[in-house]
Amino acid sequence: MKLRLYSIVIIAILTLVVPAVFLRGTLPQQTATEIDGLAQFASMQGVSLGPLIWSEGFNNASTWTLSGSTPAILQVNNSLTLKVVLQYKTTAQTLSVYHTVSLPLDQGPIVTLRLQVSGGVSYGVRFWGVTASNKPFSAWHEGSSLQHRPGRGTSETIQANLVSESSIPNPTLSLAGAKITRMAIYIEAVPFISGTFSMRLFSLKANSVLITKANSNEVGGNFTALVADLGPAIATQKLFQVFVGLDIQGSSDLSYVPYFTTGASVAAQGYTYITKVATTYELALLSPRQVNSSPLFSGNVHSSSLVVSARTGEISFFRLNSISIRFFSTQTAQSANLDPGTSRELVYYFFVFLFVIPVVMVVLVVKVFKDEH
Amino acid sequence: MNTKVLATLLVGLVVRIEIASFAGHPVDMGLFTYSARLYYETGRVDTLFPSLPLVYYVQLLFYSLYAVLRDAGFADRAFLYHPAYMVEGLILRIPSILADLGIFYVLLKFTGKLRYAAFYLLNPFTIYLTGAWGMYDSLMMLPLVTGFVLVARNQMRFASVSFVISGLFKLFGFIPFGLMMIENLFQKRFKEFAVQLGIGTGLTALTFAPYFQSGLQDFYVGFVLRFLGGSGALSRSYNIIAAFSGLRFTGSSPFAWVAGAAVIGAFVINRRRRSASSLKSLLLWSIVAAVSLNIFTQSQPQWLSWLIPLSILYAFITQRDGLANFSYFFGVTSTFLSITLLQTSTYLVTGVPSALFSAFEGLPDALIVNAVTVLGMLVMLLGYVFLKPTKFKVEVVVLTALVYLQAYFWFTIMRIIVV
Repeated sequence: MKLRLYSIVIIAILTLVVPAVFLRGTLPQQTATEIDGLAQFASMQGVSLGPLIWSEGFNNASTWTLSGSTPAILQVNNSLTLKVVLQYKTTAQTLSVYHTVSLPLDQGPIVTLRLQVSGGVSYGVRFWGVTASNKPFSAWHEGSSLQHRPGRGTSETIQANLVSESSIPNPTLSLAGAKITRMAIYIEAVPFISGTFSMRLFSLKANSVLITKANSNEVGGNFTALVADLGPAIATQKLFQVFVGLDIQGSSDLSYVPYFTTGASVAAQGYTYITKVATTYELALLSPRQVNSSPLFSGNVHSSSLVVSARTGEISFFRLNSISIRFFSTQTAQSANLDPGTSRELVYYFFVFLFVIPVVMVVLVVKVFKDEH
Repeated sequence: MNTKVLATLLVGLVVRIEIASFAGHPVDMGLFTYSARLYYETGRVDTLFPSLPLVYYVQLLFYSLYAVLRDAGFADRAFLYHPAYMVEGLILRIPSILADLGIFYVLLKFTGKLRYAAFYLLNPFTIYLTGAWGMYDSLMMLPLVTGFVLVARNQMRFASVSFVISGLFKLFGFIPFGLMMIENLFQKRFKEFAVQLGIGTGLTALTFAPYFQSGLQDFYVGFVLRFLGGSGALSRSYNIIAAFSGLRFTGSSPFAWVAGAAVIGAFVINRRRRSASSLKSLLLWSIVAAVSLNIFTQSQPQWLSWLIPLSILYAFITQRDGLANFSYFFGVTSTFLSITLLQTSTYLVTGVPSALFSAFEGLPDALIVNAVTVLGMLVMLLGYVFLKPTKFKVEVVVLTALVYLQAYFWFTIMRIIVV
């Protein structure tokens, strides 16, 4: 009897092992694929904030223009203060303050604003520019973290990479000779909001970007971000995961977030990582599901890039060891349009098998089938 | 076979297969499906599989049946927003379903009580994990439970093998194995200690052999350090400390080390002072270790299931009938909490989260309500384990409901803590 049982087990295992060995790599479908992200690795650069190239002194009110039908008071005196009285309305209300600037894009300007906006309203920052041939373009887009930010009533610092902001809505834009000429800060309120709200802009400045280029897969120095150019932009519709093997060292307070970008948009994002005691090596997992922010410094708009952005502290050494880019093609059922009623019925069906039948059977076992005692 | 046993077995099997045919955790099933397809479509062994390699090997073996079907021209169907096809998802869960049946058999043979075996097989939490979610905890629990039965039969070396296999599915299996080794050291059974060490090292090396050629660095950083609290990623944690403080641990919390040292210390003291059997001590301190892991580390919700077969075994050997009954209630409540507070009722069914029952789901700070209620149940379970044997009474249900309602009131309505 025992021998027969062993024979059955061995036959069962062989039944599974034999096809597992011989069918390896034979399925014709290509729904799960993996490519080596370093195969077309082009270059890497360490990036940090450079010298100041422009700073607003808030000493000339005439350079600021108010736009909107809502009553408001604009004061410019070492800082900018905008007070607005919103009437009770059934439509959304907006008020903008425009300012003329001149920031050449080939310097890669990073604009930093420190401001405070009342709670209950939202705000945002927008830019416009002209190309080398004086053709105007918009340098903002919906979906950016610079738009429709909720006012918190506390001082906040926000930064904008004008090259990224320009490139996302204008992928073919040539940076040579192009410049940002105008910016706006706006306050907006959803319908039925009324009362007095304010925005105070304490500082507004622009810095250039310092870039340290490296042709190998490692770079040393002091950086706030690392950008690795992985070659021509990869289609990311089926992107599943990106695994990045990296060696990283930096200040004791270093924490960083890895991003996989295609063009100027973020295709996958990793967790926030900190350096470890045990090893400088990290295997970072990036996923499209985790995208909730974008890096200040981004890669070439025509390439796919890995961006490792320091959230706190500075990076002093970085080596890119491996990148596995995984694609997974899943097929959603054609009947996937679900209304709440069908969902509810499915859930009830699920609960019957999960709770009702097992509990009833256990009650039967405990109360009726007592013979095992 | 006894008709009642057969009926219980069939019900346990049917509910699992029925649920597994359409439900599944979209993220976890997506990961398993990807890795299996990668092997059968491209021939690559996925050394970045999100769990221990033994789980992957078992899944690949069973997936070969599906590969045969696909080769024969079988056209599988997708269901709603699930990444795996219906039959594909079911086949990926066959090993776990078989393991559940195996645990039922081992518990039935060891205890001789259909009721105790049914408390495991018909527990909504084990059905939920295996059938609905697609988790593989039962693959770890089958050799774990078998190991304890072998300890009861004094077959210590086979028990060691069983615990190591369990640990190679999920690291928890190494806890009773480690406790056995510690006991051998204290009893000065150095030969047995060496044999155990050899078993553990040999089986582990064998399992990881395919990883040697691609290097173990990724596995060391991506898996080992994660579970030793040395991971670099700040990720979400379900335990009560993280829920209250808003902390994002890098893998296990640092408290895991304190809890581990406390369990080992208590086990050693317990073994020196008392003349309790090895089985009783190993079971007792494995239960305490499982509770500690659930309280102090990243404590994934599925880890609560480990306590169910362990409690049933401990209830049997110490005549604590109330504990066995409580383990069933514990499973029912854990299922309810996991569905409503951590996932939403539609998530595993349709593949997208949606709060159909707004009074129970999609609550603000639901993680805290879950952590508090789970902590309450874990304390009650420890009460059943350590205090004198008591019956399972309806008051326990009421008390658990009170803990849940209090947590619900203070943390989701009054919102006294906003994390």
